[in-house]
Amino acid sequence: MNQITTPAIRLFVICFVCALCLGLCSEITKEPIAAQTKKTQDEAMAAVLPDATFETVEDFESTGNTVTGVNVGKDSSGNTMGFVVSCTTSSFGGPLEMMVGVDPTGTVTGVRILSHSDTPGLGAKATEPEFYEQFTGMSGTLAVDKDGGQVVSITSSTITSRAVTVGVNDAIAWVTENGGAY
Amino acid sequence: MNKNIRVLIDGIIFNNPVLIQVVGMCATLATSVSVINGVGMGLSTTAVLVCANIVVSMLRKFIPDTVRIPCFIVVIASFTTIVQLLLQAYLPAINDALGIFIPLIVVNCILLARAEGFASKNGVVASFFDGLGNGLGFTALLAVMGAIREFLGSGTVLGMAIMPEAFPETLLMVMAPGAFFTLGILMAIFKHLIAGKGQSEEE
Repeated sequence: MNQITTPAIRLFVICFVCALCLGLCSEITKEPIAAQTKKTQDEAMAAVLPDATFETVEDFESTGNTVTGVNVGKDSSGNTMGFVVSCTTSSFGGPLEMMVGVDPTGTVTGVRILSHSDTPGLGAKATEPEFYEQFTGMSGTLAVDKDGGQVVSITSSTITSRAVTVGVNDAIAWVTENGGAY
Repeated sequence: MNKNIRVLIDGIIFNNPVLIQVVGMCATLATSVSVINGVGMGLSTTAVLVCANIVVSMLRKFIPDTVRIPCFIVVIASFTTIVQLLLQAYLPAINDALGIFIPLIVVNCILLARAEGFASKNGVVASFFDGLGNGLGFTALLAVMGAIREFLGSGTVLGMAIMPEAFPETLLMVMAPGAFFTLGILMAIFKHLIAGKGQSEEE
């Protein structure tokens, strides 16, 4: 009996202490992580639609199923400068979160990738300016070069390039359909 | 003290975790795409390895033989999670670059191999040096592989372009086959160089 209970009790003690440490660590890092996430989002919003103050649109109507949130950007006198649309699309390694700035006419003002799970050195190149800057100024329905479109895809990472393009398309579509109401 | 330095050098060179023990292959092949990725992964692994080795060594008389593997894994997984939380909170840049590789530290064989093969049989100080040596050996190898693959694959080292634009980028080198080629060649050269020199004390 002792041969079974002693190891079981000791394993339990080790697990219990580890769980306590993890809980403590999670508590300590909770606030810095939340602050980091918010900072990343604020920076991304400011980058895709400069000089605007943002208001979150509470009950937006999603046109594509990738749109997860919309912020209206207004200038100092309250006129609508554009929209920052958050999208989550499905990419090579999992979900890809991005923010797309679109002006009221449906032209892209900027794109930033917030998080992704793609391969470093390949799909992860979507986070580099060389790739995402090309979307600035584009409008209409976009497609990557392999599909006959105007988006220059990342070498060996067509799936990631498509994922970003889908998000940009949905963002433009949302603004074209609903933008007039704000 | 002399013995500890010997343990440290063993980990880095004569008993290098990747080149000699041939453990931790998955992480080696996946993260050696560039120098920065390799060093980041290496140092994160070193941090977990040192902590896990110390704790396993302290608990070596408490851990029952029959359930030692679950105990090691719980300790390793806890430290990995702690490292991930700390990186997310205080070093977001490294966390972004290494994202999905951090949780993979748990399944890196180096950690279990050192816990089972060294820390569970040796004192705390020796285990610290063993963890540090193996971690640094792993980091050094990842850095060298990262440099070779980054140079041949993208014409850059540490993200800086050092070859003219016309340099033919060998895409194969940043993809999986390039990792196998590089590792195989490095392993052959390394074994040739240290053949007959210095015997691991463990064997």
